[in-house]
Amino acid sequence: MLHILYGTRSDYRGEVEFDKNSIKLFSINKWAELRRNHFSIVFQELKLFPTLSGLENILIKSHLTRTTDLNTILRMAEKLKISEILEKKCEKISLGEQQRIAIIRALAQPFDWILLDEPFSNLDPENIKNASSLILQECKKRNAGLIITALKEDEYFSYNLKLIM
Amino acid sequence: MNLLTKVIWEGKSRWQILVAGAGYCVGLFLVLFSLQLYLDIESVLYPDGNESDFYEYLIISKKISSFNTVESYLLGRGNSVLFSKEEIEDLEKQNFIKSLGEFKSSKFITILSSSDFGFKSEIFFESIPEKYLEQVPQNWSWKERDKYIPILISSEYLNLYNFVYAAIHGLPFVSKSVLPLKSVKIDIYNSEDLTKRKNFKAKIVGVSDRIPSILVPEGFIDWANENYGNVTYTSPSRIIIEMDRASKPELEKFLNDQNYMANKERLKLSHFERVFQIVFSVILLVGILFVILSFVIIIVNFQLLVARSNEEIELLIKLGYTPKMLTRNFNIHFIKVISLVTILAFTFFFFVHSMFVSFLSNKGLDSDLSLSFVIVVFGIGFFILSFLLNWLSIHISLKKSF
Repeated sequence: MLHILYGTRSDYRGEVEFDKNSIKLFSINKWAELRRNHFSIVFQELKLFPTLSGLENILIKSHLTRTTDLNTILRMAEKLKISEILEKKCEKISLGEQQRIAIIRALAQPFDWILLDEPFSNLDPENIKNASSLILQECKKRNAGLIITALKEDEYFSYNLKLIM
Repeated sequence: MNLLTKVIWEGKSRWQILVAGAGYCVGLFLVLFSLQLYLDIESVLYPDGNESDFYEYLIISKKISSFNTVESYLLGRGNSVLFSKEEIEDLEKQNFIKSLGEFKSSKFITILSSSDFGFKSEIFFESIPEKYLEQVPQNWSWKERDKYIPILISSEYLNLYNFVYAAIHGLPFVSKSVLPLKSVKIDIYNSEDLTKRKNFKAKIVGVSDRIPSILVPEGFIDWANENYGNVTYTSPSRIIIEMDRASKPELEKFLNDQNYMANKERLKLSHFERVFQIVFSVILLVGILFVILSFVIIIVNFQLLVARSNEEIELLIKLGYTPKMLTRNFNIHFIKVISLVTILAFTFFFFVHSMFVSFLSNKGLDSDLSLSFVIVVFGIGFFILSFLLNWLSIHISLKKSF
């Protein structure tokens, strides 16, 4: 579902509208603009560049808008306890660390909606707590909405809508 | 390093691009060098830049053979070397001849004497229609009662005078600009009736590179032939033609068929020029082939790179990069490669060209071998063309990958 909302899959029936326009009609440049300023995502499969370091993976995203400075990124990394591995190549770090890099990458840009596709699948409870509070804080800052998919029921956020499938 | 560059380029072998770049460099060098070689040789052949003049005007006459020598001896006249009316009409019909002018020659005896030049000699006069002179001197006309006769001499004669006659007799050299200041006397008379004679003052008003003769205005020849000449024929023995530069081979064939001759050296040079043009074209062709081939390899490699970076490109697009940003990144790299090889090719070219120039001047062929503006413009044009082609190719292959 998140892939549909993010415009990366179009093999669905029915209609998805954004600002009353069918998203199937959006051009590649329109999607690029949406993904830079309105939607942010943490992919289930993380999708980091293995040859780049953790920090570079975040910067390649934040450089697009330059709304998040390096200090903010470093503070977020500290909060998620990954400051030490920021300079390591992503192929050399653990899945849990990669997941936290992907979360920070998603937060290092402006957005109206953040889409989280099983964002905590590789994290222990303490890290989940840190991550969810950071996400919430960033959402509040932007007055942004949050859509999350998860396998188990959880109470990381105070949801106002739950779809159980 | 730019992060985008790192994602797209890291871990990908670039040696094909380097090899292709070297090929491009060699090709571009060959193209530049052959072009410059062409311009150099042209400037050595035609130092004054009046190359068109060299071929556009030719003077033709009949060949002197033992046959017409005997004929003229028997008939006592030079008739067999004259062009008949029919022959002139035939010449006019040839489509490689744009126009022709007849030489009129003096039919009286002419003695030139000049204390300034230190000699006295029997000479001849000729005239041709004004349009065949490369430059018509001021006051190029003559009427009875004019104070002097304007004379135009071949620049070769001036050289002969300066380098042979004046040098032997220890006389001062005469430059073109002081020629008109020298006083010259002309005596003309009828060869059969010595009472018919007259003397004139004359002025050498200029020199001609084109016409190897001593020229006076047509008005003077007409008047003097009528009053002092004793030969009745009016057919010309020499004809100047204005020809189509492109049809040298036809002209040569025609001259051979008709047993005519022309200023031989010029036609010989045209032979040389043709051989040279072939050599030049071959080098140019090889150079162009090299460039095209390497250029194709470079473009294919960039496309391959786009294909191999498919995953990365897909992810970059998912992160919010536009195709334009990616195209720009590829183009920057392309420009770097092309700039490098272009600069290398030019450097190599400058080096070889300066060696070539010093080789030529060692051989005594001094000429103005400055680098041509054309070459620089050509190099820049090439660069821009390459860039546009690659931009298009990247643009297309990137579009395919989404």
